[in-house]
Amino acid sequence: MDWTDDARRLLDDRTRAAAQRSGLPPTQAEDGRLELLSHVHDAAESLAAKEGAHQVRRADVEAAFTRLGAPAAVTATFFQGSGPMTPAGFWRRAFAYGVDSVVVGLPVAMLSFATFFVFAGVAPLALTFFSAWAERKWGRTPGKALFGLQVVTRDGSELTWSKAINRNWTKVVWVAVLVDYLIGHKDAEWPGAKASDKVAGTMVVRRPKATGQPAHQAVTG
Amino acid sequence: MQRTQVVTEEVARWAKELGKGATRLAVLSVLAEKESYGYQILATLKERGANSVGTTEAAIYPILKDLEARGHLTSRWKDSAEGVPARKYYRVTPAGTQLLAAMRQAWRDYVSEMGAMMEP
Repeated sequence: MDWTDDARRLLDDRTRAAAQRSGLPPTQAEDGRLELLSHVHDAAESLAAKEGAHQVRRADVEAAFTRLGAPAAVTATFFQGSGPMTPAGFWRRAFAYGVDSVVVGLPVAMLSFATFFVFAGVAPLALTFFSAWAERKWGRTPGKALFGLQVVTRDGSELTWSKAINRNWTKVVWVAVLVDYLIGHKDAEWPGAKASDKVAGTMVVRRPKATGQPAHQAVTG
Repeated sequence: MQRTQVVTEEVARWAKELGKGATRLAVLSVLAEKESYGYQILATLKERGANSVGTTEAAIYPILKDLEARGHLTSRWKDSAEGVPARKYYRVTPAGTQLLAAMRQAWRDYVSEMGAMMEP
């Protein structure tokens, strides 16, 4: 059966987002992604065929994903060992932020020293863009990786550049990060989230450990 | 009417719990016939009228992965026709065949036992 480009793109985007959300090592995540992709492919074609259509459209793919349940349930079903994810607490996030500040700050400090402090004020901006880039590429920064944290989107969609920048822009000034967290973290629906996380539709979770047991549930807390 | 509804809901909950254990046996039984992939296994179970047995993705895929992790299944990726993604096919290992035989016997014993208890 033919597929529209839009339908293929949606299938690819949603499976990649699910793989990123799983927190599994790349090989395992890719295996889960491909199995999810082939399943949804078959399900979408079946739905289109039932409608008497000769082409799979975006709506068929959306319907196939909807039948699988919430994004977190999809991750739990197709990604072995992904397990439950819990929102990350303040101190883990704070220490991760500290590590990232050093990872970025040290080379920037050396660069600014070497260039007679031409780049002296660049570190916070560098931290913002580096964090956004790393989270988009790997779902986490070096600091977050060290403390077992990961950035995921609430709705399972791709972590786009605009989302990644939106959730990191307050890092240009450390006080802004603190205020960002103080404003956002008490919301029961978004436990531990910064206000900028809510705007971006993201949250920071503790990466599940691969247990070898059947994956079972959604985000808790 | 309300009491009947409560009983019906209770039965549905109980049957769901009962079905959870049976799903593993059903999946292994389907795979014992031939190598298959997740979507096909689900379709086969539904074709055979599986009702109490879990016939959802959330039931099947974790079972497949767990059985594979325990060595009762093995899997391989097989290319499909052009434009169709490759599919992950599962098949039963010798250990899985032994497990299936034991589960089938345990099931027969269970049914026999329950039969005796319900009709003394």
